[in-house]
Amino acid sequence: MPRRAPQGTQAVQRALALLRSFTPEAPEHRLSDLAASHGLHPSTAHRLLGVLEAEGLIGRSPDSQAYRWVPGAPGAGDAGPSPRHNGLRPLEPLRTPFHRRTAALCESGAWRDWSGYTCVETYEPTPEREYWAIRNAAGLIDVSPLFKYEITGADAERLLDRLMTRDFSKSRTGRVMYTSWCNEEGHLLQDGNVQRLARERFLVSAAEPCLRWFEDCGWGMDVEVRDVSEEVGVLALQGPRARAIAEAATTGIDFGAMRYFDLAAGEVGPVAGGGPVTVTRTGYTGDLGYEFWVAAEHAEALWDALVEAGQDHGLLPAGLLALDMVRVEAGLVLIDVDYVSASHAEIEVLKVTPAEAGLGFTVKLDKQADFVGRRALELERDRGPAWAMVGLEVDWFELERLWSEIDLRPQIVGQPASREPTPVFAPGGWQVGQCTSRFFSPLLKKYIGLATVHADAAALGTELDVEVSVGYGRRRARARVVRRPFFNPARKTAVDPMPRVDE
Amino acid sequence: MNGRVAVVGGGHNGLVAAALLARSGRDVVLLEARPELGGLASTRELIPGHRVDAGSHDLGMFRRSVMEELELGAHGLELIEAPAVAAVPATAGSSAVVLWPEVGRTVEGLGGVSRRDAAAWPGFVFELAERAAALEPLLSRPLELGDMGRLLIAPEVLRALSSSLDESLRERFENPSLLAGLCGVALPATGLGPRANGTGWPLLFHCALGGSDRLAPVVRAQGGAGALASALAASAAASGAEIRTGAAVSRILVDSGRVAGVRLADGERIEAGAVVSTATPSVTFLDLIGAALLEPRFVRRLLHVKYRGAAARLALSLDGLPAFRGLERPALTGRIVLAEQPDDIERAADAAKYGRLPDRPWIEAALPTALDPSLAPAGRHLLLATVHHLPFDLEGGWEAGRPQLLARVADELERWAPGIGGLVREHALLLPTDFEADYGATAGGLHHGEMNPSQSLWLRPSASAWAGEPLPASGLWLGGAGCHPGGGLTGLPGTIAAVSLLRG
Repeated sequence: MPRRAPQGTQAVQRALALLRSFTPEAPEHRLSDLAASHGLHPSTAHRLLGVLEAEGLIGRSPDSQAYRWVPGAPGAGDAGPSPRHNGLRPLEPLRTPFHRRTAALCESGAWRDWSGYTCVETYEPTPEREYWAIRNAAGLIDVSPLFKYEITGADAERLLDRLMTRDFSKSRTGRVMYTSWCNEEGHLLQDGNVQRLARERFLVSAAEPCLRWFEDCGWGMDVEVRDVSEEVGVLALQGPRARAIAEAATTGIDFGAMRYFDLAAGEVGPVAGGGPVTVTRTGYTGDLGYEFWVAAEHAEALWDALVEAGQDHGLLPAGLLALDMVRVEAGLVLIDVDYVSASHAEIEVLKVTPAEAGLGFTVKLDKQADFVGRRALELERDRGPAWAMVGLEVDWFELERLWSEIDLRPQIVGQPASREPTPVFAPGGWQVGQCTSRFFSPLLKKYIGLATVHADAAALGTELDVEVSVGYGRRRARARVVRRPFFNPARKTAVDPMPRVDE
Repeated sequence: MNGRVAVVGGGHNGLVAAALLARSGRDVVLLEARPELGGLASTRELIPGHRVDAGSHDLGMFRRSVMEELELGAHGLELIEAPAVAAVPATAGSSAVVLWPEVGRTVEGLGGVSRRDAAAWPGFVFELAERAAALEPLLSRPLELGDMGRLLIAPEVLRALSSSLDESLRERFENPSLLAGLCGVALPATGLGPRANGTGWPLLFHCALGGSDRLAPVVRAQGGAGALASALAASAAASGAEIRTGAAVSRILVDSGRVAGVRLADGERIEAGAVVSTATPSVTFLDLIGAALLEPRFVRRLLHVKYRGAAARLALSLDGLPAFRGLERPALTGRIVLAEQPDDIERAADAAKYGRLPDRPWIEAALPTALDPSLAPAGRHLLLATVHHLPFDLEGGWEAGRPQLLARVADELERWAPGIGGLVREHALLLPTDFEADYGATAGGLHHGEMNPSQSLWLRPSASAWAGEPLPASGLWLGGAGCHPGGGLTGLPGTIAAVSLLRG
C-alpha cells in the first residue's frame, strides 16, 4: 500500500503476512514457528499477533499454546446461512470476504455496522485522504454488504419487468440497469442496479433484503430467485486512475470498450487463472469507476491484485465516510437517509414515489409490462408529484456571519457528511421540507445538501432557508436550489477514458 | 361492452347464479367441465344401478326463497324432509341419542340418558335460535358496513362463534353421545377438532341457514342431490341461459383490467363482459386469471387461504338396512354420527393435522334409501359414509392410504352396526385427491376455504371484493363457496353474486 507513514506500512505488511499464514488448511501456528518463518523477533511477532487476536482476526487454541485461524473468517466458506435476509441483526458481527485485508489496514479502529457487517468507517483517523484519493487518484471500497439476488429462468426478464419501474424488455446482456422498485401504491421500496449476465440470468443488488418480495412477485413464473449475498464479495474501485488500475489487476477485459453501465467478465490478476470476476462500470461516487463482483473464495486475491496494481497510482483503501462524502457531491440519494423505504415507513407521509425521491427518470410508463405500482404512478403522472428531491447550496457568507456571532469560524469544514435531517423553510416562512444529507465539499468549496421539498419550491434558483446548528443555537441560513449532481466529471461516462488524463 | 355473462362452474352456486341472471334478462352461458351438472352436489352412478351423491346431499340449508323464485318445483324438484336431524347409535360403552326437529320429542329421548341434558335442551335450542337469527341477515346478502355493529352489539354471538364448540357445549351438556352428535352436525368439512377455538362458528352457521327456529332438518331431493342441479338447469334454460357441460374453462381473459371473456381448454374463446367464477379463490385467480395480473399482496393473501377440511366418501350398496344399535328406522333418516364423544373427532383431527390417518376415523353416515328407495335397485340400500378430518397430504400418499382407510372404516362400521360387513355387495370410494381432481376442490377442501372465523364474514372474499379491496379485474364476480357466506348447499354465494352483478 502506498501509505505515507513508513513505520506504519512495515507493521501493516508484517501483520498481513502473519494473517495470511492462517488458513483452513493450516489453522494453527505457534508463536516461535511464526517468528522464525517470518523472520521476526518473537516480541514483534507477539505484539502483532496480539493486535490480530484483539481484532478477532485470529484466536487461540484451546490450550492457549498456539494461535488459531478463526472459523467463520472470510473465505472460510463455513458460515451458515446469514440471518440478514429476514432483516434481523445477527448476534455476531459478520465479516465481508475482504475483512482480513480491511481489518489489517484499519488504523483508526473506526468501524460501522452495515447490514450486520463490520465495515471500516475510515482507515485513518479522518476520511480526508481517502476522500481525496477517490477524486484525484483512486479509492478501493468494500461494498460487499449489499444484498445480491440472482434471478434465473425462462421468466427472469418477465419477473424483472414486473418488479421494476425500468423497461427490462430493453435490457441487453452485458449491461447494467439502474432502477427503482415500488409497492402496489407506487411507493418506492428501493433503488439498485440490475446486471444482465445472460439472457436468462440477472443479478440485482439492493441495500436491503427483498427476497420474499421478489418471490411473491414471481409466484407462478418459471424463475428462481437466489440470495447470493454471502457468496459474492464486491469491491468498488473509484476515481480517475480506476481504469489503469483495473486493467493491470485483471485479465481478459477490454476496458477501452467498456461504456458507462457496461459489464464484462474476466479473471482476477495480471495473468489468467486467478478466478472469475465480473466487472461493472458503475459506482456510487459519480466518478470514473468500476465495481468488481467476485466469489468469496477469490476475494482476497482480487484485493491483493488491485492493491498491487494501485501502488503506482496513489490508490488508497477508502471507508464509508469518504464514500458518503463523494456520493453527496454526485447527488446520489441514499435509502433510509434521503428517502424512507415504503417497506418500513412507519407512517404514510414518509412514503414517497420514485419521482419524489428524485428517481423519476427510472419510471418508464411507456413500457409494455404491467409493473407493480404502475396504476398509482400513472395517476401521479397526471397530477404531478407532491415532493421533489433537490440539490441545495448554502450561502457561505451567511454561514460565516452566523458563526461569527458567536466568535467562531464555521465549524463545518473538514467534517464528514451529516445524515441528521434538518428542516428547510421558505425564506423567513413555513417549513417546506427537509435536508437529509449535507456537508462542506472540500472539492467544490461549497456547503451542499440533498433536500426533499414541496414540488412548488423545487425550481432551480429557488431561495430557501436551511436550519443550521450554530453552537447550541438553531439558526437559519439562506440556500439556493441548484442542479444535481454537484460534481459531474466528463470521465464518469467518457468512452474509453484515458487512464492518466485527469479532468 | 359485451352484455354477456359467462358463469364458470356448474355446481349448484353456478346454476343458481345463471338461473337468476337469465331470469333478469341477462344473456348467460354456463360452462361446466364435467359431463354432469351439480359439482359437489351432483349424483353419479358410482355404483352401477345406484344414484350416488358425490358430495352434499342435504338441502336443509338451501334458500327456500330461491327455490320459489326459480320455480324449482315446476322444474321437477321434489323435496323429502327427514323426520330426524341427527342420531348417534349406541356402542358397548355409550348410549344412543336422537335429535329431532321437535324439541319435545328430543327431550323425551334424552330423558333416558341424562335428566340434566334433557332439562337443558329446550333452553339450548332457544338460545341457539336467537343467536342464529341475529346472524342470519348477515349471511344471506352482501355484507354492509352496519353489519359490523350488529355483531358487536350481540356479544353472545361473538363469544359463541369464537370459542371452541366442545367448551360451549359442555357449559350445558354432559352426555358424551349428545355432545358428539352436535359436534358431528357442526364440524364436517373443517380441519378443526371440537376443542379448537372458532369451532362454535360452523354450528351457528348451520343453524342460521337451517331455518333459525330449530336445528336444521335434513332435507333430500327426490332422486338425489343431482335433481336439484337438474331443476336449476331447467329453470335457467327456461329463462334462456345456455348450459354447456364438458366445457372446461382454462382461462378468464382480462384486457386492461377488464374481463373480456373466457377461453376453454380446447381453445374456444367465449366473449363476455362479465364472468361469475364459482371456482375456489386459488383456482380462479392463480390458475384462471394468472398471478402475473395480480398484486403481490393479493397473491400472498391467496396463498394463505386455508383449504383444510378434506374428506372421503365411501358409498356402500347393502343387501338390507344395517342395524345401528339403539336406533329405530325413523332415526336412520337423518345424519348418523359415528363418534362416541367429541374427543373421537378431536383425535381424528389431531392425526390429520400431522398428515396421518386417524386410527379410528369418525364417520358421518347417511342412508338416503331410507327416505328415497328409488336411489338403489329393489332390495338394496345405499349407505353414504363420509370420513371427515382426513389429511389432504397424507404421509406416504393416498395410493398406499386407500386400503388402510377402507379397512379402518370397515372396522368402525362393524363396531357401530354389527353384521354390516355381511350386507355389503358393492362399494365406491372418493378420496380427497378425487375431490380436487374431479371437482377442483383445492386441497380437497369441500368448502372452498375452511369455515372458521378467520375466513368468514368480512374475512372471506365477497362477490366483488376481498379484504376491503376490489377484485383485480372489473367485470369479475365470485359466486362459489369460497366467498361469502361460505360452503354448504345453500345457493347463497351464487345468489349474492347474481344480485351484486345486477346491481352493478
